[in-house]
Formats: sequence, C-alpha cells, structure tokens
Amino acid sequence: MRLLRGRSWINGALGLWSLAVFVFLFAPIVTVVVFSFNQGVLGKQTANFTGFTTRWYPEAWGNTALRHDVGVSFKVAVAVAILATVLGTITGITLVRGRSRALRLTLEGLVYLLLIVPEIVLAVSLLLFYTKAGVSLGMWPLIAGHSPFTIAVVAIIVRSRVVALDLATEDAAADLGAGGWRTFWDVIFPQLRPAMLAGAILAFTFSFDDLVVSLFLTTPTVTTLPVYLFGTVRLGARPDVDAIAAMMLAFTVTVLLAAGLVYRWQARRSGARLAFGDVLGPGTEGAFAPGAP
Amino acid sequence: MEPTDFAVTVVKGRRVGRREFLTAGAAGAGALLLAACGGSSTSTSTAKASSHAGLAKGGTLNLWTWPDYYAPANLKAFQAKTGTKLNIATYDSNDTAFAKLNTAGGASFDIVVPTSDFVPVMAQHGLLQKLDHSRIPLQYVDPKLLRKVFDPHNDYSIPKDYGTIGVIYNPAVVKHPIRTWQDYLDAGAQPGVSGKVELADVPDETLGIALWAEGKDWNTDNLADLRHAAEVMKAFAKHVHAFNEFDVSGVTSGAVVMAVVTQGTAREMMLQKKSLKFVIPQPQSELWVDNYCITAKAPDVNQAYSFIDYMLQPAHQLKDCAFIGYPTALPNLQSKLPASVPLRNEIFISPADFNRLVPHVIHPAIQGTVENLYSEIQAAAA
Amino acid sequence: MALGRSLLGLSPLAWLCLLFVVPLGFTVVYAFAHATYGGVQIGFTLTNFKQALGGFYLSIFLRTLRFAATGTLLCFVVAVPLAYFIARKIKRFRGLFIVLLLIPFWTSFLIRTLAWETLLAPNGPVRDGLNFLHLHHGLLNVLDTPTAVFIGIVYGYLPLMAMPLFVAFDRIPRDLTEASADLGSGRLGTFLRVTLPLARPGVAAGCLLTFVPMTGEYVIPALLGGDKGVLMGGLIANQYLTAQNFALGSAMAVLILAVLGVFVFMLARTTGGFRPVPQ
Repeated sequence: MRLLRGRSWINGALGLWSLAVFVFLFAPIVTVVVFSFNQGVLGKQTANFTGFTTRWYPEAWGNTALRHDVGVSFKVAVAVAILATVLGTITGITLVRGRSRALRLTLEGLVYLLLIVPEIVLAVSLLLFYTKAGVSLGMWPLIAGHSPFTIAVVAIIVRSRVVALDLATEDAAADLGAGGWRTFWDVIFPQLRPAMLAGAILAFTFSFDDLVVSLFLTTPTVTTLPVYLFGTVRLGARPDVDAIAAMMLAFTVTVLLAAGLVYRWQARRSGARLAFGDVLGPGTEGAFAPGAP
Repeated sequence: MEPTDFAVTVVKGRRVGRREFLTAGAAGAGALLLAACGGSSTSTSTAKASSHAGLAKGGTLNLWTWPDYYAPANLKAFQAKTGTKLNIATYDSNDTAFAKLNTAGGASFDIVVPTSDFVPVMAQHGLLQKLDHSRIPLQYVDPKLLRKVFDPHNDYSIPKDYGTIGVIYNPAVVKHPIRTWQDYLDAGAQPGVSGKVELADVPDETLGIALWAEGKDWNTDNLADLRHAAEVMKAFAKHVHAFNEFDVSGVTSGAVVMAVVTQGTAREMMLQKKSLKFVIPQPQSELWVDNYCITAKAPDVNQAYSFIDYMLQPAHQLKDCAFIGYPTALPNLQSKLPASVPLRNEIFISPADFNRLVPHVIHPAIQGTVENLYSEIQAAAA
Repeated sequence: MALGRSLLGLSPLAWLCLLFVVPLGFTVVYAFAHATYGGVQIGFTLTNFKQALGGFYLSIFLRTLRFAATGTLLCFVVAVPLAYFIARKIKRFRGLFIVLLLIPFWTSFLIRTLAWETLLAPNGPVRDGLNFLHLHHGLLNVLDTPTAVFIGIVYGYLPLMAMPLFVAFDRIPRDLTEASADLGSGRLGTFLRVTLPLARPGVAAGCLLTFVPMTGEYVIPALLGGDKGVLMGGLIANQYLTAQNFALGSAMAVLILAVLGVFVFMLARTTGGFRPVPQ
C-alpha cells in the first residue's frame, strides 16, 4: 500500500530531524557541564579544555554574590510563577466567562499588548514609573516587573482550556446544589490545573531567565543571576558560573523527576485521560491558540 | 569591645548620638578593635591609627560593583573580621550603574566602583558624597593616580586599580610594525590582516583611535572632529571581525591577528600564545582608573569607610592584584608583587608609557551624538 | 456572589493597569518631552519622533524587521518537523519528550549563550569535532558572523515556536488526514493542503510569540555576532543607558509599539484571528 511505504521513509526522516534538534538543544548543556571541570587560564574560562579540576564547585558555592543572585532569581521566579498563575488564571477565565463584553475586550487587548511590547520598553517605563511614584526598588517591585508578561502567557494558556470545559458537569453540580465557589473548586479547578501548571512552568522560566527588565530593576540586595552573568561578559566569565549552572541542572532534573513520578502516580489513581503528554495532563490542546470561539 | 553598645555618650559636654560617637571615637576604637581581633596582617595600620578610620563592626554594606572584582579571600576575611554583612550587586557597564543611581534604583547602594570618566558625571548629578580623607589610608595609594583630571582633589573617588588600552598582535602575520595608532589603522587594511581585526566595544575608545591617529585630543567636544573620526572608523569598519575587547579564544587561536585590548587581557592572551606582542601605541592612549566612591545617600557610611580602609591595606591589595590581573593602587606594587604570579610584568605599565596616558572625559551634551556615531560604525561593519 | 466575582475578574485588570498601562503612559509622555541628559523636561515636541524616523534609525528598524523575519522563518522550519513528529508519531512517553525539550531552558539563557561561544570558538569543540570527521579543516569561522547569531536565536526561541505548533498538530483529528490520503493525495500534499491549514492558529501563535520578542532582541547578536550591526532593541537600550536620552528612547518605543500593533492586527485578520479552527 502506498501509505505504508511512504510512512516508514517519512517517519525515519522526521525522527532523525527530531534527534538532531535534541542534540542541538543539549549541546550547550553538555558543554556547560563538561567545562565546569575545566581548569581555565588565570581563573577565566577557555574554549579548550586545559585541565581537569573540581575546584570550581566549592568556589562557586563560596562566591557569595553568585550564590545570592541564584537564590534571588529562584525566589523571584517562584513568586512570579505563583502571582502570574493566580492573576493569569483569573484573566483567562474572565476572558471567556466575563459578564461584560467591554471587560472581556479590554482584557484581551491588554493581553495582546503585553505580548507585543518589547522588553526594553517595559523595563524602562517601569523604572520611570517607580522613580516618579517614589517607589524604592526591591524584591516586590522586581516581581511586579516580571508579572505583566507572565500573566499574559498564563492567561492565554488557561483561556484556551476554559473554552474547552465541559459545561455539563458544571450544570450537574449546580443541580446537585453546589454553590459557585464549590463548583469552581471541585469541578472547574481540577480541569484547569494542567493548564495552570503549564503556565506556571513557563512563567517561572521567563522570570528566571529574564535579563532586560531585571537589569533595570535590581538593587544591591535584590539582584539576579542573568544580571550577574551579563557583567562577567566584559571581563570574561569564570568557570564557577558553569559549576553553578551544572548544580542548578542537577537540582531541576531531580525536582522534575520527582514531580513527574508524583503526577503519574496521581493520574493513574484518578484514571484521567491523558492527551497532551503525560506530564501536562488532559485537555491542554489549544494551549497556545489564543482566542475564544 | 563594641562601640555600638554605647547608645549615647557625653563628649565635650555635649550629648552625642551613636553615629557621632562612632565617628569621633573610631580612630581610637579602631585601633583597639584591630588589636583585640588578633590584629591585621600589617602592623603599620595600628601605628597609623590616627590617619585612618579603622574598621566599623557589624551592620551591612551594599557594594555596587563589577563582578569578580575582589579576591574572595579578602571579602571573606573582611566579613569575618568586622562582622559586616556584605551585599554585592553587579553591573555590566558604567552606563547601567549611572542610570540606576540616577533613579529610584540608587537609593540603597553604599559603595559604587565607577570608572574614571563617570566620576565627574555622577558627582555633578549629586550621586556621590565628598570623601573624608582622614578616614582613608592614602599612604597606600600611589600618588601618580591621585589628583587626576576626573577628580582633581579626589573629593569623590579613591583609586582602586587602573589600566590602559593598547594593541595586541601576532607579529608573524602583522608584518607592519605597530608603533602608532595610524600603524594600527594601516595594518588593519593589509591583506591577511583585514577581516581579522578587532576593536573594543566601547564608543569613546573606537572614536579615540582615529583622533589619536591624527594627533588630536580624544576628549574633544568638537563635533566636526568627532564626525570626521567617525568617518575614518566607518571606512575601517569593513576590516573588523568583531567589536570585542575580550576575545581570548579568537586571538589565541589565530582567527584574530590584531585587537585593541587592555593590558590585563593582553596578559591572558600572551600566557596562552607566547608569540603575541602587546604595545601601547603613540602618541597617546587611555588611562582608566576604577575608583571606590561612596554614594550620596549611602545608608552605611561607616561600613563603607571600613571596607575601603580594609581593601587598601597592602596585603589585601596584593591579593586583589593577583586575582583580577590589573595593577591596584599600592605604591611600588611591581616590586612587591610575588614572582609566582604568572607573567607578572605584563600587568604593569612602564613609567614612560604611563606619562602618555590620558583619562577619558564625558561631555553630557554630546554623548548622544557619540553614541549614534558609534552605532553607525557598528552598522558599517555588518 | 456576583459582585465578588466581578471584583475578582477586575483584579488582574487593576494590577495590569497599574503596572503596565500607567508606566506605558509615562513612556508616551516622555516621547513628546524635551530631552536632557539623564532626564526630560515635560513639554510637547515632535523632535524625538522626527529623530526616530531619521534615515539611520529607519534603516536600523527595517534591518531589525528583516532580522526577526529571518529568525522566525528559521525557527519555523526547525520546529515544524519536530512538533509534527512528537504530536503525531509518538504515542508513549510524549510527556517525557516534551520535558526533555524543556530541560535546557531551566539553566540561565546567558549561560547557554556563553556555552555557544565556547562551542563555536575558532578552536573550540565544534571545530575539533568537524576536523576530526574531516568535514572541515583549520579554524572555525562561525563565531562573530550572522550564522552564529541565528544559531543562538533559533536556540533561544525554539520552544516559543514549537509549543504552539505541537498543540495545533495535536488537535488535528486523524480521520481528516486519512481521508485526504484516501482521496489520493500524497503525504506532502496532505501536509500542505490539510494539516498545515488546520494548524493555522498554532502557526499564527507561534509566529507571534517568536517574531514579536525578536524585534527587541539585542543581547544574542552582541554576544555571538561580534556586536557588528545594530538592532532596534540595542538602539533603544543605548538611548536609555549610554546617551541618557529618555525622550528619544521613548519615542522609538512608541513607534515600535505602533508598528507591531498594526502587524498583530494584520496577522489576526489574515489568519482569521487566533481562533481555533472548528473541528
């Protein structure tokens, strides 16, 4: 049959391409881990492996500025993830279920505007705003600075899921006498949870990686890893940066493994239908297709 | 002994608060502290107790600086000795430091470490406070770095380390001898060298090359001169491989055969490729000095003086020099630096060369034009 | 309850108004103000806009659009086979693949970009590998060229393109593609005439999420491209930081917002909005 023959050749090619992409994606990660053991020259990183050493790991740990910045990045990212998920979920639901059309349209316009605004513009306007408003910079102004973009991301993902919600279940709950809040918690929320999780993960990543907004909004006590790294570019980075990255990777992979195992165990228990991947859960199709039908 | 335990005391018949007590009594208290805490590594500091503030105990210090700019041993020892909590925030450029100091972001920094050209700009905008020289051990600062054009009375800044820019090149490929900046421009156009040349990613240094080549003052604010210099560099741009003053792998691998770098970077490159040569071209080049400054609104002034005092001590300056690879402000540093430091002589600038070096001065009125001219040069290289 | 719900619905609006709309308002005001070094004098002038639309800036703006379009296209080409493969060819462990795709993005992006500097160095590991395989000899001349920049760009923006594409491909029911094949269309034909159009919302979303942020990109080209050539994001950053000309920077920002707004509007129109295609 024509289909079958075509299929195996195409499958092979697609598979090969995907493998190449994965290699491409992991090449720098492998490089980071390998070169975290590089001796370097005069304490700076080199392009060739000059010798094996483990000294960068304790040195990275002892580099209080670096460690502090990683900690701040992490704390800010967690706070941003939570804030963006809460506000983004509300936005996502309101975009579909909001009673007033004006409200829905305004929010939708705002969400798209948030995606359009280049980061540098957002960064500078926030700094100007804080200066004029007399707000002194710190942890919360930074978290607030990361929030607009991440709220938009979460809102878009959640909205597409709200659109696909099963209204029959909600009606049944209402028939059985459940109030608005109860219905939300027991019926809507569990279906939204995977979309919220996906949004939270993306929000965390954006915040952790953010350079431009953070550059403008950090202070002596609240400064992030990308800001630190950007400063090392001028004088050359030390391998301790790779050591910290390797440690972060190890931490992330461990957390992910644990989370994945927990999720699979939970999913197996509740017997949920798994569509969009085993991790992100049922019904996140359309996660990045903004717009309500 | 804990000076801060005395909340209020009576001095000269007048009640003074905690801060004043610390300031007035610090000289004596400092000496006692040093002795009580096992002494510092140099005995001269206790002997000269009257001319420097000594170390304040406790509190926090917010340091706003370049990353990796202090020997870790020094920072650890400072925190251990004084109990001061050190918060270090870093910036990637003087522009960022200035921009943030000038806005809401500037409120809580204590010490900022700007390069010399930004000291007058920051001072004029009221971002720095005048320094009390009686609290600073100036005997550990080389006089040749003091009273420079960017801060004639050192009202606002104390030198930390310094350097210059010059040309590093591979003499086997760059046959044209590099003695002047014009030589650099000429050599860059030669076949075999063209396309393998790097410029520093700094607007004033790039325009400066053309100005120096024509024997002009690189601190000119004459727009015609600057535009002409930009045209020269735009014509040169097609030979440029990258705007990067730290391309160690590029130069040592041979992909780049000539680059404009600081002497510290040149040293790193020469360590990996012995055949490279570094020269500070005639007639002039830049003197940049990174300085300790205290911000106008610094909340922890005592800790700031304490830190500067500590870091200026000779033993600590030696450690810093070895760590960052640039000469710190200690007098006669070259003779004091241990021989074990690799290529130690390349860290320093000869007296003859030093006298030809001119610090950069920023003219706020034309800075926008300078930046645009540099962008045009960058665009011309693409 | 209804009031409580309305208030809840309004809370993100309030937050965003405060933290986004108001600051943007400042930018707009500054765009019309008189420039000084490190500040502005509030007033009304169109000088900044005139400057921003001047010859050099305009050419940089066009160059940036070209750059972002190229980067988006490259991302698209790289992402489509990958997204299609995972969406339609892998039955088990799909979540694992997606997580694997995401793991690199949990280290800082600057560290990854610096790693590319090491990888692509003239005497770096990639050069060593290529020379070893006799595919290349001598020094690798990729770093500080546009090639290196686009490698870095595709690397950084791939998930933003791949995720929406994946989701879109995932939604297309199998019976539609099978029907197309039954009707005699080859695999490529099915893909071009059935799959891709049905994935239109995902394509639109992916392009939006990639193209728009790319117009503001300037860090990756500076690190991997030798900082040759200038892009809009860098130009604006320079106005705010080096030139301390907040007014001109704001004017440039307002112009960019206007142009991109028009672009998104046109994208929404031509792709029939971002609405999911009815199943």
